[in-house]
Amino acid sequence: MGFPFPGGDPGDPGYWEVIFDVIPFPVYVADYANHQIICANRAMRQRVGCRPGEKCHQAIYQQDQPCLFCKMGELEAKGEAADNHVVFEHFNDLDDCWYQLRETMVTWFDGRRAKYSIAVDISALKDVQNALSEAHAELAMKNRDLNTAVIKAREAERAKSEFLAVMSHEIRTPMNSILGMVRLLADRPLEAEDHEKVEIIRESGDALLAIINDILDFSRLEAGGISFETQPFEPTRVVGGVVSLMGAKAQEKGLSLSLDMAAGLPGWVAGDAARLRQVLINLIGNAIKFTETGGIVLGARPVDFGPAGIGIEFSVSDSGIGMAPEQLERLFHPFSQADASISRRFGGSGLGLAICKRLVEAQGGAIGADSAPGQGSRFWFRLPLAATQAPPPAIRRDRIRRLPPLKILLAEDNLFNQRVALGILGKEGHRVSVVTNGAEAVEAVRREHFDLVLMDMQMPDVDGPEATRRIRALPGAVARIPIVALTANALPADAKRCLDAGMDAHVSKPIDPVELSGALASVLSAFRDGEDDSLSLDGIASQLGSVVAADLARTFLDSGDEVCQRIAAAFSGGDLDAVAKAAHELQGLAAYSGTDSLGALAARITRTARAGDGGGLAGLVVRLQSEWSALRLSLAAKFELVD
Amino acid sequence: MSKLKILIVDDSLITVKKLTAMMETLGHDVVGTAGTGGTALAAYRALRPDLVTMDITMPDMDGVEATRRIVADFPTARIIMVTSHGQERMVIDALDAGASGYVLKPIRAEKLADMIDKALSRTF
Repeated sequence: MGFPFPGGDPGDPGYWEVIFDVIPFPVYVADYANHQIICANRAMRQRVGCRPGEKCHQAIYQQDQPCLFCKMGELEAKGEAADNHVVFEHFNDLDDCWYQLRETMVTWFDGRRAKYSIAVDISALKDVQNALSEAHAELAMKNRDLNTAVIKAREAERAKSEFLAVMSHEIRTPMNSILGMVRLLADRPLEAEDHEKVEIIRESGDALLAIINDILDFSRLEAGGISFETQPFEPTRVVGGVVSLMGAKAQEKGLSLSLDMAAGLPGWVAGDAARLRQVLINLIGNAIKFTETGGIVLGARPVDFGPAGIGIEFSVSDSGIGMAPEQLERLFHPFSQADASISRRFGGSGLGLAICKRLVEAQGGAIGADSAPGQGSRFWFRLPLAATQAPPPAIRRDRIRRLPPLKILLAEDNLFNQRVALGILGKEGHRVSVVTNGAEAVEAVRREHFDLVLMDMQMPDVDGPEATRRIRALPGAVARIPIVALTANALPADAKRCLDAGMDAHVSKPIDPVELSGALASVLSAFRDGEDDSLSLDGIASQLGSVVAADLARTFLDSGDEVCQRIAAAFSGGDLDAVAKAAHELQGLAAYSGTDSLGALAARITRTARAGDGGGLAGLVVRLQSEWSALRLSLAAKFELVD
Repeated sequence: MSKLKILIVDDSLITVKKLTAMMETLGHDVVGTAGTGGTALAAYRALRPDLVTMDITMPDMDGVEATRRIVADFPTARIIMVTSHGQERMVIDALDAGASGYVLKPIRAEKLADMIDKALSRTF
């Protein structure tokens, strides 16, 4: 081996120090076994002033123990491969400098394993890097604080909307009492002059209620409290329904309302029909409001929705006053009408279009308007509506069967609400007893038989849910009495509270007569079916689902048709045996109808035919025909069967 | 700036000495020091300092975890990370844990003073 300095002894560390001294960076070699420095170059000696034999962690870091970050063990574990090294950055607390360290394991001349370390001062580079990191940290902190602020602001916004929703509902309750009383008053014989006054109160009340409903709707949308359905519906039917609903209103003003449906519209789509109807009614209502002569056209055409699939564009064009571009811009903002004079002239909450915009956008759609002053306006919106399968025939819950007179207990402390409920229920022929708190309600059902309880949620002392729990805990059949809640609260959580307490349904105040009768009917039919009518189609629907029930209803009607025809034919042919046989068959079928009268009639026909009483049979066969066709109609309607 | 009560959490005696000297120059009062993450929470609870400087790499519990625990009990604690770790991941972790500031070594007095101001003006 030839050495740089012939005559020198490479076994002498001083020999190497001479060579290392020319390197301008700190260099040292340390014993692997005991961390003692074997040799160090000038740059190293000047920086840390190490003495031979001193351990590296003492010399450099003034520590008694090896450094936590010491890499020697890790390197040595890799074996004796040549160039076994590591490069890392380290901050030295003592001189406040950053170093890049390159450490390599070597076998020293005397056979010891040792570490060769060279350090490059990278403090200047680190300053730049740190400045970047600190700027990054600062940004991240600002970002975090902004996020917190945004969350707080949203929270406040939501709280405001919720407050508004609750307030609107609180206003709606007395408003409804007023309107209910006015309606009852308008039904009474009045002097013409008084009648006119009552009409004005009713109209103003309706207008006010519409505004309150808008605010409630809007604030619920803002509070995120509205969810959308995805159910199959026929858009052409919705559009047709809206036109027939709004047609009368347009006609009152001498305007035409026509329909322009493009080819290629899907038959059934999945979406929220009620919300679609709401937007259409709003836009058409506006068009009627702002059009003096001419007409309104409701259009629908299929549109491409890009990757989202297909959709439909609905449009409402009018020949009304039109708008300037700057008015168009403000149009969909809440609480703004195109012109302040418009709100004076036409009234309204100014929320209608803002509600439409939110409803459309929440469903992934877009809304807009094209207009020019004097040129009329065209409002349009596009909704992504995917084509879907027609649903199987289902039970329509909103079809109400006429209820027999019932004995009802009304638990309600508010006098107005009492009167309204009494008025509505009385008109339907029900007998109503009134109590004003929950404890009295519990006492009343224990003492007396009622078919049903209508229970206000908020009452002094014992409230609705508590009274319900107490009734449900009573011994005997009375514990299962149907209970319908009257709720003044708009929030879904309150509906859940009713059901959790054991109530069967709830009706929101102000009481809508149709909603109330519907709730009573559905609750009572559920009860009756559950108890003793489990064979009826209603019972089957509740146990096996409406699809199976509809299918059975169809079969039932087909068989019934056939049997009734057979009875009529046999009767006119004078074959009384055949009449008796067919009527007996009908008796078996009649159990499914859910009414006793058909079975009783069939039994009577069987008996009469067997007795050979042709004269008596004539009246019964006619009665059967009319009873069967009535039952047929009501079942077809209930199960939505289309021939 | 009014005189603040400072808690220094660091396992390096040299760093503790330097920070103490700097804080005193800035007119603050170092009321305690902790050498491990585990003792930091107890020290905070006992001393209720106005501000904490927190090292990231320490034996037993690291500074990010110690910060998380202090903030869990004292949500308005103002903690400045004083560390040589400038990697993005570390910065984000420390801020997510609830740190109010970040100073990288070598510590310079003016940067520290600036960060203390920022930490004090933070709203929770």
